[in-house]
Amino acid sequence: MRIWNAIICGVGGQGIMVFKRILENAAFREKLKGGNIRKIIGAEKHGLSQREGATDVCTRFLLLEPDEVYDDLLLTSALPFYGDADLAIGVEPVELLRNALYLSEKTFIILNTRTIPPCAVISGDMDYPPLDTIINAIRDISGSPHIIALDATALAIEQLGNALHTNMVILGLALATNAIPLKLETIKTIIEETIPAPSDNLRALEIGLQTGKNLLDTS
Amino acid sequence: MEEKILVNGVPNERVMLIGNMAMARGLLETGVQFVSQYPGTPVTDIGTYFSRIAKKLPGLYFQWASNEAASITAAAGASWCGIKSLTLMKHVGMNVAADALSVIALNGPTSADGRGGLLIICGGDPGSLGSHNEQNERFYSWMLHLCHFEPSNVVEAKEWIPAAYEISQKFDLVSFYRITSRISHTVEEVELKSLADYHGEKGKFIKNIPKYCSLPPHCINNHKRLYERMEKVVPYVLGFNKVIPGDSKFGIVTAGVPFGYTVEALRYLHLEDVPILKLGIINPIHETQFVEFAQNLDKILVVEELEPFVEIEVKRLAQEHHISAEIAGKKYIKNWGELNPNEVVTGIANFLDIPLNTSSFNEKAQKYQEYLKMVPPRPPTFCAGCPERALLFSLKAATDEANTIYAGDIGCYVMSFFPPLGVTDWVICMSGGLGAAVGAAMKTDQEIIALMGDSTFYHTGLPILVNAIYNNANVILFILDNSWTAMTGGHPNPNSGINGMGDPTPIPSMRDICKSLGVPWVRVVDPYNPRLMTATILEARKQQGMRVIISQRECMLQARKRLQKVFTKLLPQKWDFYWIEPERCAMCGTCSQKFCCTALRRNADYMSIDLERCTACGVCYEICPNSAVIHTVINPHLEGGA
Repeated sequence: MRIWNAIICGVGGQGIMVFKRILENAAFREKLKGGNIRKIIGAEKHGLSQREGATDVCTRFLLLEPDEVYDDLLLTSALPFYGDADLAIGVEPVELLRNALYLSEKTFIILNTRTIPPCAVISGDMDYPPLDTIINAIRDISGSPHIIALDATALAIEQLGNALHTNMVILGLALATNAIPLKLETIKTIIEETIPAPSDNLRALEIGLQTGKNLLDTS
Repeated sequence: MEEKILVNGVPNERVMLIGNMAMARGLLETGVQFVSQYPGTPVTDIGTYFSRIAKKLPGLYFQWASNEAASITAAAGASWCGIKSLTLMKHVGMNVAADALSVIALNGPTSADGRGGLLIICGGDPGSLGSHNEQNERFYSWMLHLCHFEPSNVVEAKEWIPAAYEISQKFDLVSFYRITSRISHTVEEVELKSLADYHGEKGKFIKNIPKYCSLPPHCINNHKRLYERMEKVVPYVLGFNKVIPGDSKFGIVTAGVPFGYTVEALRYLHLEDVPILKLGIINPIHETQFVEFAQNLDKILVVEELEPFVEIEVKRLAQEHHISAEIAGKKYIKNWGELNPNEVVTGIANFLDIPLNTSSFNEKAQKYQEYLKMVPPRPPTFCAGCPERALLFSLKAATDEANTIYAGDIGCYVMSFFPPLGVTDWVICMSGGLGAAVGAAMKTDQEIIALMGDSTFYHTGLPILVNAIYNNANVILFILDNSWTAMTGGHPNPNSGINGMGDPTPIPSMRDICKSLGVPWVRVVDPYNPRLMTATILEARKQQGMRVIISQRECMLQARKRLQKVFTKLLPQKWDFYWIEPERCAMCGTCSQKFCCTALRRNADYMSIDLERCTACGVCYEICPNSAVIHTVINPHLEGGA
């Protein structure tokens, strides 16, 4: 038995909820088809965090081997333990650092390096920390060797002319690390079924996937 | 989306649903026909769904009520006519509804011939994930004798709704569903069942003075009858409680969301033989079941969020039944904020003296705290183009901050207390800002400015304004009239011209209301015009007594939702925009520190505008003292323009 935990952090309005629901719906599809994912719980945040505030969501999958017996009590909490994230995605850099207690050596970390300055930075009261500093801090707290930091937003704009496809590029990067216990085909199907303009999003996914593979090959 | 699941969802289909949607489907499967709500996180979405589908099912009625007292009395009225009724509110809504609820619970919610039924779904918010305060509304069910359900997950939240109505109808009790943000906003797999028949039958009220007219002697008889009615529920309680057996002499009593944390915490600690009594109904608590659970145990920990409701109850029972086990709760489980699996692990370990190897985590947490110092805070803020932000700019410019009291209130403008704006001195509750301003005005010579949104004005603001005028308070009241209940996500209120059924309604004139109440000095100003707003505020400050400035401009999000549909078809995307000439920008801080719009960007020696975020409100153009903001309008008729 294994519980797989993913956290996704960003700024209200960055579409992290949609991101999470793609993972969940794909997991649910595989569950219905008799895969090893047996239960899914996802926690969202609504309300104040939508107003350009910091926000984070998480999703948890229960995976069983064929000989293991299902019990509803194997996965009961919507929130994971600290340090227990298997996948952590920062759609905005400091937002991942804000949630770094969920990271550990085992966490696959994908960091979009495109920053969104909060009010305190616009007003000049605080500096936005340099990217290197953020990445080092995340590495230091987590101890994880699996960190991909990349300007996915720039990729989405360059290749698809639209920053809205950022999250699909990030999802592609995450899939390239094999850190997600889901089949690529299932994720594609869910994108086709549930996301408006699926063809652009599927291209974004492919771009992320290829970029990720290239990065992993060269490293 | 709503219609697909709520109206057309196929019975027996298994789907992933967010808690609020799952409950909405459960309500329709039960045959709820009357729903009323004042919007409030975390349960707002349920009303939004009903508003969108109300006309799809004959006889289904939905109302955005002007406040929770209006909402609960409306639901009681419908239930007294024999209709299954529902009212929803956030935790603090219970405080507004409580006056009416105390009598509705006493009289009983059903019709005189035992039809109808009333359910309250109350969204608690431990951790204040979407609220201005943290309170434990569970105690209302103890005080007012409500049958109190506490589902621990989305499946139970959906599945228990029919029983909540059955109990309400059968025993003439108000059923109280207390869920938290962690159920409303959690996604889980649920199974759809058949929708109830909706064919629009009418209700009928049957007169019965002793039941419905709460005065002595009836109120005392009804109080006595209420104890008898509650007693009858007890056998039903077993159907919602669950005992997870175990051989350990240490047991746990829990209810609601913390149950999920508890199960995982016990596994984490390798304490899988610990018995758990999971309460699904916490009022009334099943006495015999608890006694049987507790009598052979040495130690019992009660795991619950916020103040100790269950702990107090089981300690009372333990005392009555001479249970010898050591019972603890809040000594080990914190009584503020939201719990999580880690907190429960620590609580259990401390209670049982289990050593936890926390050194590596502590080291990590210490590092984390150290790094966090460089992370800029990101509290929620006003959207780019928000009229409230524009008003606050003028307010700061035209008042003497050091010698003025700014009475804040609940609504988007509550965010004005976050730096760098920082122009709110107190926040109490809906209309509490003006309320306190009236008292302060009597006892200080400081200038007092009160803020109030239009939804707040119609929620509870009117009687407070009457009090202010009646007592000749020396206050400037700003009514932030953006036409919508914007904070919850743009819901209609009596000022919106549309109601919960989607029908058009007359928009009252706020100016005329204030005038007719006797406010001698009322002005209506567009906050997108900071010069006029500033001049108006300066003029107001020269007067005495009650003065009202209505800052009138529709919520930018709502306006764009409607207008964009038209404009994007007719015009190129960026035909009217603002940008900053770097050479003219002196980094004076007017836009960045005093206005602080989130569409602004700080560069090394000039500010710029992020066109992706800018909504072209033009306020930065108006306020820039260096004329560095340039307004460009492209003639869409030019070649390539469109």
